[in-house]
Amino acid sequence: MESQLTVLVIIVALSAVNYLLRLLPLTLLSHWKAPRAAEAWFRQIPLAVLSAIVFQQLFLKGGSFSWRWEDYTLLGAAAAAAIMALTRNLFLVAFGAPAVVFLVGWLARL
Amino acid sequence: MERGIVLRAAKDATVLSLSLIPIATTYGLLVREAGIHPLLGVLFSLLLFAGSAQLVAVSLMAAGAGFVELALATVLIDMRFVLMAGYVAPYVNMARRRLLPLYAYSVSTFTPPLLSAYIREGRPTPDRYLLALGLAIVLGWTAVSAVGLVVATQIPPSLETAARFAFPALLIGLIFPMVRRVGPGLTAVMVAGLLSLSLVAVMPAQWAMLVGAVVGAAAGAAWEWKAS
Repeated sequence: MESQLTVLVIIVALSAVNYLLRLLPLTLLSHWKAPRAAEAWFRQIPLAVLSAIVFQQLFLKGGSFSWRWEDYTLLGAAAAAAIMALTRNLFLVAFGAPAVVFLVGWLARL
Repeated sequence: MERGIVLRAAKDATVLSLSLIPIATTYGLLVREAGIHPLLGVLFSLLLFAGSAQLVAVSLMAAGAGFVELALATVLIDMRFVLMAGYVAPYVNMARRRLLPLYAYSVSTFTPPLLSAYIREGRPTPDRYLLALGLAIVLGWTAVSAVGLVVATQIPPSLETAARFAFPALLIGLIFPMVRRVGPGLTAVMVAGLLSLSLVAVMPAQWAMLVGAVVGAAAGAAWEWKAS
């Protein structure tokens, strides 16, 4: 592990690199009047990006496909969807779904 | 900026930030394991402002990774911001040019879906809401990271797995309202999700995620195009 000063330098440098990643496309695309097909594509981007992340979070372990009933992730995912459908409250989803995963795991160990 | 817009953005960002506490706790656990000073952990949240990239970067730092490796990993993870920036660009275009660096700084995984919900409600000046929301989330995430660093010292190991599930749970909560029935949204979800999984056989997971998202969005757009 590096010294705290080295960590600070790394943090600042990483942040600068990643800031450029946000600034450049925004600078280029904010001047561009997108055609209708591109607008339709961009409209679906948030949903597609979030879905790709969720599927990988649920079914990938260490970079390769892995899924077991004992992970309870599908149950947790169903709980997250159900809580959102019933309450429309993100806060309850963020705490409720992990609580379901914890409870089912705890009950299974009894 | 109108008070109503700021209040709405603050409310949305507060709910979101409180929902991020379990993720911040996971971050706190990793920062502690990596031996990084808690203040630097908070500074990292303020400067980088990208939860998943921070989680990976801190894990890699603990494993002794060099700067190039760290930069490549975080850039790959944050490539999704290129797509997200494309989504918000038309709204940034409505705003004053000198504010563009602030808009860029505040782009996150969560701003596009919340902006999308705001637009669907037919509310005015989405550009102002976007900026207020983005900056409020920056402050919220930074504050919640500090909370996570404190909570991480108290959390028993039995809760760690459940805490790590908070991130996908939160994303499912954001996806759910955008998919009401069979149509473009559900098409984008399924194509992006399944492709991002199947492509890991032939490419790194982060690239599979990006390609899956790009093709999934195209499939959703094609459905929308065909229907209209």
